[in-house]
Amino acid sequence: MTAIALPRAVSPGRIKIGLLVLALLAGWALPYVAGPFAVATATLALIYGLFALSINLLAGYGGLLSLGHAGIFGVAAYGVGYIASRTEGGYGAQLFWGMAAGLAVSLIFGVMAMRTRRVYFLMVTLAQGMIVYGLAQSLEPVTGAENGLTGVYRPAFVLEDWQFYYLSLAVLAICAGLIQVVVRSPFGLALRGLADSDTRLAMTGYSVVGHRLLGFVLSGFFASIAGILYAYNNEYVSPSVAEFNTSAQAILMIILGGVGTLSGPVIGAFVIVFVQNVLSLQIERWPTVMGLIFILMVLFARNGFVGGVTRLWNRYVRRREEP
Amino acid sequence: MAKLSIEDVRGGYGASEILRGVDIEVADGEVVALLGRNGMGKTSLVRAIAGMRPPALLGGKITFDGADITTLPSHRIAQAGVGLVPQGRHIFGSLTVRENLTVAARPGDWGLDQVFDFFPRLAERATARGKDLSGGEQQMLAIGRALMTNPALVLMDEPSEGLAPQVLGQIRERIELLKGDLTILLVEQNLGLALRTADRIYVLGETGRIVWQGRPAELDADPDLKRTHLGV
Repeated sequence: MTAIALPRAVSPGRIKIGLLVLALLAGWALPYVAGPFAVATATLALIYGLFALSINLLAGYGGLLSLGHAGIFGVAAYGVGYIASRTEGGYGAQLFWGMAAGLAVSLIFGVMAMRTRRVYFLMVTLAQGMIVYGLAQSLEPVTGAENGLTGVYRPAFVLEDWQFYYLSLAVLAICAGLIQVVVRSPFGLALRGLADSDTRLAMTGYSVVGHRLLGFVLSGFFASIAGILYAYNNEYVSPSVAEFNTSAQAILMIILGGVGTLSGPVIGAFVIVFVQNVLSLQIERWPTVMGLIFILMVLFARNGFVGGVTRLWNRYVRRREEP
Repeated sequence: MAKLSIEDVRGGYGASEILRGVDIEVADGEVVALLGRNGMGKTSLVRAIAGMRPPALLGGKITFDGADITTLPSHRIAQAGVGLVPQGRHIFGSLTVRENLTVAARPGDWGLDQVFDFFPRLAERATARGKDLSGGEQQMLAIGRALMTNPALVLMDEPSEGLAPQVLGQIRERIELLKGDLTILLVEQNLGLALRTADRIYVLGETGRIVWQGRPAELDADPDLKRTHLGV
């Protein structure tokens, strides 16, 4: 018999809150302990993390994987860029038109994709992303084509990289909180029900098409916020924002971090952005490292980082509880 | 007045017509069982009533509470007050028991507490995911989910399917408790369940039409009928 009783297992909810506080503290401390390069890289990871969260809202919970979300992300960024560089519009107008453009495109894309599922949904959304990319390259009067749009400037209160970093951190934290509220609401439950079966959902009195559309627009709302942040962070908008690669990369972030989780896409974004930006300075063959990470994840943690850690934790708890 | 009335409904899949003029009436508060062998179109009929396609409807009329619901989409039919307990349960596997129930909630007498009282087992399993439930528990959840929509009519498609006798007994007892409060159209292959719970029985035959209707006792007393159309 052991003389000292083992402390009772801490509830998973408390652990999650603890980890969240820890992550926020680390996020707050970063500019104090790391150099400007790390801060700028982390800002990019936060923005891509938010973008990945927007795709995950639809894909991870609703079972609808959009390959064209970079189109929405890009349109919002272009909205800001256009007002900033081609008109006299101030920050209010830039934000308004960036969001309005993003939401309008989400609505149009949503209506187009609503009645499709599975591989057809992939194809339709892929095409949507391509259309935006094509327009970005060819619609010179609006997008500046290959030259892109310059003349986007950060507002005075976030001129410095570390200031913009804190802004991005705050926006991500607020959006993540909102997404969590959405996912736990009856709407979110219905969205998750959709992923299981849409006929089942219809028979409980939900309009499947209506719910999909609302989910799509909501996801587009968060993608637009990410796009707006991106435009200001970069102070330049070019067709590469709307590239297929931008969507694909965000999807990799979700898979790496954990599909259908709140922290997974953000963790995935940090891993990928840091590997790309930091490792690429040290190792020429950084894509190989990226590939190895993916192979290891697929072999040992198919549910992504968050899923893998949860599994290890559960195993640890079980082992301690067993005599 | 009939709660649900199915008049001359015809329909099928592609070129094959399965339902060739089905007539069924369910009165308010009545439990009506629809029996028939496999492949006679029982599930097709349930899907047709619930607004699911396929089957394609080629003719006929379905009225519920006096309103024509023949061509309404599923969610409208559900909103009108038709609850479905689908064949094979079809609960939301990735949602917990509690979430499965709350997602279906519509205003009325049945709420989470009432369903948990009705199926105490579901209360015990409230945080388990749908896919981790046993067959019997899934069936309870499917019925509970339909009740959460506070329906005026429940379509139950083979609730006995794949259940162990003891579990089936529990489900039957619950269905009997619902009798009187709820109008039920029970589609079954299990003769015993239908005989014990139904007020009236219809038999769907190979012709794609109703070949017999009457009281459970009359059916039970007719071995020829049971052999020909139900294979028992």
